[in-house]
Amino acid sequence: MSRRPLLAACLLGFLPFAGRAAPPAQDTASAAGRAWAITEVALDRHIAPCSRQEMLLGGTRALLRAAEIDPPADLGRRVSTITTPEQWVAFLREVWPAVRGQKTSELMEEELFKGLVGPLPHSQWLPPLTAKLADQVSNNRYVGTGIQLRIAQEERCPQIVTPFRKGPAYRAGARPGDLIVEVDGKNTQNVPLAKVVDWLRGDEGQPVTMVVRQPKETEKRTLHLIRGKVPFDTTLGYRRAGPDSWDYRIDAGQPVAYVRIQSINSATLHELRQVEGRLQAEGVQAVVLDLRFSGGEDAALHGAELVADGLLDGGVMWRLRERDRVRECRADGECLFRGWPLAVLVDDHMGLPAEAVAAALQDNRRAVLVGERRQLDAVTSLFQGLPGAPAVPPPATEGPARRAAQPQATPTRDLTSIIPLPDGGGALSLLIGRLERAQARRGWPVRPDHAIALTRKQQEDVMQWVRDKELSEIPAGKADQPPEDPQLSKAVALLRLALEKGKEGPASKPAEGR
Amino acid sequence: MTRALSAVAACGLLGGLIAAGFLRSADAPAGPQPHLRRPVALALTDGGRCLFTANAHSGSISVIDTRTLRPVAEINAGRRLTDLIAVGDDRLAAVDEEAGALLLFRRRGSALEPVGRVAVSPFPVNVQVSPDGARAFVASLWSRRMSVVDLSPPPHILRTIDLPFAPRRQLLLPGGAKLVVADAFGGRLAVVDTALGEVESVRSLPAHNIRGLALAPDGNHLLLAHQMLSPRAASTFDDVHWGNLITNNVRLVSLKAVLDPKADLLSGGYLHYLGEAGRGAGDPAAVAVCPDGKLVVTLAGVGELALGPDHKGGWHRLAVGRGPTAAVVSPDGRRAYVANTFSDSVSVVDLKAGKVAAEVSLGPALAPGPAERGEALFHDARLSHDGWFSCQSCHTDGHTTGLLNDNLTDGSLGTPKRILSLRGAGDTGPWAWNGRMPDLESQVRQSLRSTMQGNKPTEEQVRDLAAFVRALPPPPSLDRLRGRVDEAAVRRGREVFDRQGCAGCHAPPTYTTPQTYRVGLADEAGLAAFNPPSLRGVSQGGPFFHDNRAANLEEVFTRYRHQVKGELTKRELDDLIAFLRDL
Repeated sequence: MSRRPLLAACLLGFLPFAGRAAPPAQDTASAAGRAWAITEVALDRHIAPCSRQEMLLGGTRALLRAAEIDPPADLGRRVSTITTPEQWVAFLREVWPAVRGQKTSELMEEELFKGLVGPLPHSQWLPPLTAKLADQVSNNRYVGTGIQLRIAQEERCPQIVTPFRKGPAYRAGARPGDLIVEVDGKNTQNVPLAKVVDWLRGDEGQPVTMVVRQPKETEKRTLHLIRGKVPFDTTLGYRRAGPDSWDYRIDAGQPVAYVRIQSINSATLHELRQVEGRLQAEGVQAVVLDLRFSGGEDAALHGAELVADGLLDGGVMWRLRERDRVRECRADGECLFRGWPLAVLVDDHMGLPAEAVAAALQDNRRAVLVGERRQLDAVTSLFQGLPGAPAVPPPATEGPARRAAQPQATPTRDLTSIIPLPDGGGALSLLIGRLERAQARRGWPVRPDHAIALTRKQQEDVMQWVRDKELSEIPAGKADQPPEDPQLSKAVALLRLALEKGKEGPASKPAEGR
Repeated sequence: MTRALSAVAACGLLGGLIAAGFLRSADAPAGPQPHLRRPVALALTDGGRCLFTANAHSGSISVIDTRTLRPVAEINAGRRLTDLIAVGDDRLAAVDEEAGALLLFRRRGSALEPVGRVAVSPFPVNVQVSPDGARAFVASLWSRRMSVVDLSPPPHILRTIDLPFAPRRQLLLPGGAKLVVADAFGGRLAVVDTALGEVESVRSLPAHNIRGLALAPDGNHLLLAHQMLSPRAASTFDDVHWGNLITNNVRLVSLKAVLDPKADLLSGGYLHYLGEAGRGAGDPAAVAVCPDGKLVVTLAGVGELALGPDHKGGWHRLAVGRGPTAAVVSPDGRRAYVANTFSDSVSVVDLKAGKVAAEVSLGPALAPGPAERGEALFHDARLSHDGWFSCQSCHTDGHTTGLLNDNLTDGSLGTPKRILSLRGAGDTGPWAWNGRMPDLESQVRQSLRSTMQGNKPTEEQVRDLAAFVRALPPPPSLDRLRGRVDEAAVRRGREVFDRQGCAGCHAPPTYTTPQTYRVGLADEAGLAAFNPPSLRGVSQGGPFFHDNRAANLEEVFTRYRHQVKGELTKRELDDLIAFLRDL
């Protein structure tokens, strides 16, 4: 049987769709073109892609499912014959279901695109807005008003938890606790939070007006602001010394600094360089890098590559196994904190970028790792919480900490990457490779050199302390008092020992370089 | 009163020399001649009372009375001056790149009298003088040599030392026994034993575009102003914005490590990063030291001066003229003088106040032509996003740092390629590694927008930059500059070149062709058809191929057998290389 009669027979099989109100032909062609582009990118970049026909089948099924139409029995057979974009356009024109109920043509398209990627392991299609946000976040140029919101139960309107320090709202006079009573003249009472967020979102340079008041006050303030980039500091210090400055020393009498890495993205290396200049001038000689619950998605591996390179004076950082090659990532000879002992605090909740940095430092004996690992593979989500805020899951254990069983090491770790699609068609989050440690036998996740557990209370306090660092003001009634933190104490003790002993002793090994 | 008398005395002396036809005074009735000067070097004499500028474009030396802050004279000294230094308190030495000469002057007040001239290796760009004033060390760029000159009359060459790279900055270390020479394009440092006249060591720093070299205030470190290009960053908006792609640095290198060839050059040093997100510090150039230990660094690309570091490691920045490339600090530490190359002026900085006290114009200037405007734009980092780097940052002196950069000029990211020299590139279209740029103007637009992430340039800017690039001659042959051409070998090499059919892609006179070819190479994105780079000036290039895989010309033909038909004998290979090195 030649292909042509088969295709004709297949088309006949879809006669039930004929005569329905379908979208204009050019719309279908456009959707088909974008869908084809998705399969092209996936086939090109995914480490283990399925066939194009499997993707097309997944997309078609999703489309029909969204239209509440049962797919015909021969759908798979028909799709398997599609080998050209022209055939796909013709096929999709024929099968495109009529819009039903509340569903719009755009929603149907979205279902199609999501369905296309469904058969690919660890992959998803990101709608344009989500893709845009993901790109902004991974490069630390999130655009918005720069506030963290919640619903105030008593007043039933949105309340500013905190305006972010470098955001437009903070500059316009927003304060923690402000109730937002109007956005651009629209009353916010009883409006769902998602809707208010939608009102507040917009493009860079666009104005927005908020009317706010403090709880239990009647005086309202009108804030005029221009939406803009909200650069989040990805590195923070030990105690805030002023609106835009930190004290990094844990103890004024000791040359040991604490640098908190809140998340890792394109900005982090730049910030670390600024911090190093300050620490150098202040005579610091050793540093604790706190990577616990440090955010950052797989897509920010580039940021991790920059940071690991910035902290190492050579050596292999890791190997990335892609479909057609193995790329060995090497650090150059230049490094920050040269000759200073480093200790890195790690935990279960680090995102992949932090995990990769910790692994590279450990494998090159550049830092000693202190902390606790109990879970197999920490998962954080880019789309949970506000951009820049660390994803902080609840403590994993109840009651006093105990020495938990070590997680099973795996030789590689999956790496996804966000790849923009042409013509504003969103992006694909694809499994593009597998990350292997420089010392491959160690595997993932990284394990601390010194396992120190925190009690549930200690963990909660540390998390809260770290969260508070991002706020524009220390919450009322709170002092900027670091909590009890045995992991930090251990790291400091190791560094002091390294400083005292010079090049002797286990903790001083990092100072020797590789 | 004293000041007035001094001025009268200086004027009297100047008058005598003007009468001799040597000087042209800024105060003379006819007035100074209008021309482009482009000051590139400064020398302070007479306890800081007299400031001299070496002007590259006009070949003149301008004299500024630092008490009145007025130019008091301008001397036609040569054709293209590239450096100037005080010798003791009564002499000056300058180098003339175009004439290939070291020029000596005797200073009387603010007046100069020529007292000697000696031919040095071609393209001199820097001069240092021994503490006793007896010898000068002249670094020559394209001939990659140092000329050691005995300054006792008549001045004469003592010896010539071959250098393994094209030099620019030099620094004679205290005592005068060792001289440090820095790479003009890449990051190499050589130590020369001045008594033996030998290169003692050559080592590399992660650096390029080394434009400043000085002794640190502690006397134990070298200070270098340079840039670094990250091999891990790409020319995306974000990597440019966060200063990940190119950094602008002042580096301290332990002198002990410099002098010990076995020591780790980076150990005991420190790297300052200049600039921040939103405010890059493109193209640091001169670095000078204040008596209190503070540093003065000119940021040539953004027309600023950085003073610091302060007790928190911060730098105070202030605007000066366009293209500040040289700086000196007055002996009392109260002032810094900055030569603004593209403003034809000197900024006078009150160091205590951290402010510019005055900007002294060197005289009336002629309106620059397109290529001259293009030269200023080429060095202007403000064309890039936030001022992180200029065209000059990677195409140093129109040539190349020899490094790899990942940009969209080849149509893809993730495919870093060697930065090409722009010298002689005006007539070697099409441009870019993939040959997709049909005209130079399109290439300029593409580089400004996608590599430098700058704002959309005006068409005039594009035309001017293209005019500047078109005016750049190819790099000269190293062997010919050194007088080491074996004419017979070159003749035989040409025959090998012809027999091998090299001219099919590298056709004379430009030694390229306007097509792309598949030559068994491919980049990470699968690009396999490459636009052949011109071979003119190939002796000044390397490593070779798009990804720098071949360390030298020999490797091109032996290890990679680049389009070699059959087997080349050792002699054929040597002859072919001799021919290529003569282009």
